[in-house]
Amino acid sequence: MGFRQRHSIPDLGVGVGFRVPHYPHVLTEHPPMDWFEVISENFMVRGGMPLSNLEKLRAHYRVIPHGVSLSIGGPAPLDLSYLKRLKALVDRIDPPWFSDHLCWSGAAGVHLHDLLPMPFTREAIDHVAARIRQTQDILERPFIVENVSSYLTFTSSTMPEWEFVSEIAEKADCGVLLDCNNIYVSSRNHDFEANAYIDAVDADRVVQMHLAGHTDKGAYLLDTHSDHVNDATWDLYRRALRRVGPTSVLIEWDDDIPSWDVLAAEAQRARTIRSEIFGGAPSRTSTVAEPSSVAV
Amino acid sequence: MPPLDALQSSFAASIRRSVAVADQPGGPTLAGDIAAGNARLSPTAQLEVYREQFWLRHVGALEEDFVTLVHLLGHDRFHALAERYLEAHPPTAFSLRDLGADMGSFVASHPDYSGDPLLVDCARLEWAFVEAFDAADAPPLDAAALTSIPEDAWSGARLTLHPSVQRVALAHPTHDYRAAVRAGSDPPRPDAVPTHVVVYRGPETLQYIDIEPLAFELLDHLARGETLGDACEAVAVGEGLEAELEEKVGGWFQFWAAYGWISAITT
Repeated sequence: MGFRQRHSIPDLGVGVGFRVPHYPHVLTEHPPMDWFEVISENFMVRGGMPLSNLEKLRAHYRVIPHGVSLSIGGPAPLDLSYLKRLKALVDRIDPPWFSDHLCWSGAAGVHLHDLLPMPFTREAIDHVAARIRQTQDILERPFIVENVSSYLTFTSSTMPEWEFVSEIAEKADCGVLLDCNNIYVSSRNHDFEANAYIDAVDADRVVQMHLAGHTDKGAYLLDTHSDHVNDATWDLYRRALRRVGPTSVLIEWDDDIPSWDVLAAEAQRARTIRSEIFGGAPSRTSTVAEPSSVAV
Repeated sequence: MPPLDALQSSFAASIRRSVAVADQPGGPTLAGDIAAGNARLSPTAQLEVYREQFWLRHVGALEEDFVTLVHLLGHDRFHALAERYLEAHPPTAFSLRDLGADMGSFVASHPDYSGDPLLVDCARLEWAFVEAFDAADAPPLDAAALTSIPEDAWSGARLTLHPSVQRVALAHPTHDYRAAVRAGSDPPRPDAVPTHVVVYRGPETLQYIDIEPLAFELLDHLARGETLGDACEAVAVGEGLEAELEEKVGGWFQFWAAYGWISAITT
């Protein structure tokens, strides 16, 4: 039985990130949206308005926590106090999965707050897979890892990124959050064929996708989440959908955040593409339950 | 090839430095060991992308949390302060929320900044707002709890303040200055006037209020867990303030309770 079936992974449809400029509109008007993603660390707090806002959001929408600080590939032992706080948040939200990035974020006691790339080596595969297993054991629910954008190729890498990601997912028995924009950015930065990445990914392990915009810095593309999804990334999304089937997808827009209407229109475009490919099929399989609390 | 942890340690050490990778001793050699480069970016330039992002992200986070320091110093001088601060206090917490925790003590102790008490005020007050924002929740004090305490039990009473309540003794009315700056104004530097501000979380937004020094001092003692009797004695004895304290303390308690500053009273 495949990963998605074993974990009864639902297709949530098309969602967007829950970001501060939209709080008043979302929390009072409850506009139609299939689901929201929240940055886990923003809600791993002791109390106050972040948790109050989270509860208001959860009252109307399905919410998935997405972390940026786990440092699953880092050199230091996993931060158990961080995992304890993450577990408290995840248990509070009760999502069908939680996610973070296939990266490292610090060393020697310093947190760099970045999604730093891993060298694509056997040593890194063993290191990361063991830590993912440990994380899933502690959190007790499906964990999915996201491919990151990168601006550097390691001299020590011995395989392409898609092979690295697939081997880790297999060895750790985790899901994949396939970020089409990150694939596009890295393909341009490192001169590989983005379609080859999409074609090589283990389709059954893809639980969710990300779409976003980026910034052209001339000599490289920077993953800024500050613009519309570009045409090449929409094409990768179409290709991925055909391989993977109906899958939860999320529009990320974190800088130069537009009005709600612009963001919602971007989500609608993702929804339309799904309909074009699947004929309006709302969910992945008949064996998966619809989410219990979607947008009103 | 170095083992993974050694590679990551070298990578991290390089991008944390405020000097460009190209200008770091051994920087280009290290970059060449780590990164392959391509036709558009050399190995040094590839590593430099991450170094630039480290500084942009962390200085940017400090700019957001310390808006009045940016206003007072201007962008370039604040950037220099932030670099010095991050070198003295590198980020260790998983969240950028905690990045500025030591800014108040850093500004107060650094010779380039400590001579301006308004800078010290601003650093400390801005951080109080960060602390109040996501402090733990606590149920409000039952209004009946205040009135039900027997008269003779008050001297042994201890208060538990709401976790969001932050007490900041300042050398200027910095709270007004901060409010004007955050509203987009360019207010004149305030005159030096000792000011005692409490920052706390209201039902929907963060609130702040300037309270009288005696109330502030009493609150300070009570926050340390002293009984009301001991706290009053510490504040008033030798100052000739017993009468004033006796006259006002009941009203202060009503006020503090009404504003949600007290979450429990034990007798």
